[in-house]
Amino acid sequence: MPIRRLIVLSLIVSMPAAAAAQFTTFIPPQTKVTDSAKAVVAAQKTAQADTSINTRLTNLKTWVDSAAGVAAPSTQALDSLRTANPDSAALRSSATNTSDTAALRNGARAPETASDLPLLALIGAVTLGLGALLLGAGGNRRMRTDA
Amino acid sequence: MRKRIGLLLYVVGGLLLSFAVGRYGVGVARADQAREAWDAAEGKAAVALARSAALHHGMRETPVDGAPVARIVIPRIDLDEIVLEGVDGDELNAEPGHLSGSAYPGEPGNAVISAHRDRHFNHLDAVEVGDTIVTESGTHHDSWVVVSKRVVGKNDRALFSTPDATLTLTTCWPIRYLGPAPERLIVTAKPLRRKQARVASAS
Repeated sequence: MPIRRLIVLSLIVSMPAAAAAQFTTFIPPQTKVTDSAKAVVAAQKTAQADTSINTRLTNLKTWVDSAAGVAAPSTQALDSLRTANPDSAALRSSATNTSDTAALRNGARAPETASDLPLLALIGAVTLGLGALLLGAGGNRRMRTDA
Repeated sequence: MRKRIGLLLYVVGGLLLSFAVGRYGVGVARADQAREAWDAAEGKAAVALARSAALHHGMRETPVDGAPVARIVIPRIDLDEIVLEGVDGDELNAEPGHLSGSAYPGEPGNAVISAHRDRHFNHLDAVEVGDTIVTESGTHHDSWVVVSKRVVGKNDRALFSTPDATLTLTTCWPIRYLGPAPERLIVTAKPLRRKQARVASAS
């Protein structure tokens, strides 16, 4: 066999191997086990966030109802919030009831803003002046009598 | 006899005058304290924190009577005062008072602020429709425009809760008058623009 034919033969045999190395078929990456774990954690976070939002909305509604003077039933969400935040107990102790706002809802009178002080000051000044006048008049009369 | 009567009148008059002047003095001192507290941002921070807590916990915190809860500025009558919680004698003797149970300036609802006619609101009758009022209440900084001005009887139920933000100023009427007031002057304003302060930074 001539050397030239051997070269051609070896090329024919080696070329497909090289071509296969260059043009491989697409193999999708394997799904990692850790991805599913992350997905579960993400789903849990989303669920927790939704719960939190619902809780706030529920409590906000309670507050709005209270501001409007409508009695709102206590909810489980509020209880969970109390458990989650111990400071809420302090707030709860001083929380306003709906009675004041209900009073305003039904119409309230404008507060009494007439101060008595100007009248007292005027009466005091007049009385003081009268007293001084009488004292002065008494003193003048005595001086005249002495003279 | 005349001397005795004169002496009695002199003493009584002096006492009355001293009482009135003393009350004014106490009011001025308390107003200064409230101003200092506000300027030091203590009241401001407390209110912001209370608002923040109220919004996040669905509850409304009521400041104690006498606590500074807001600042009101009415350029037309050169008024710049700190508003105290409550409309009792002690609060109104010092500063304008916020009617407990009404909204705070900037919040949805009717915010009612009252003051004596012979003190801070002694020129409220000079405020006209279209005038501007500025309020600051910790988390809110609002500009208001006066939309109405009316006089009602002292027993008229003229203050109502409103779904939107409203500012109502009240004082006794007639303003330049001694003795009990048979009527009330009611000035109502609506918000022009609103700047929400950062609650997070305060809390």
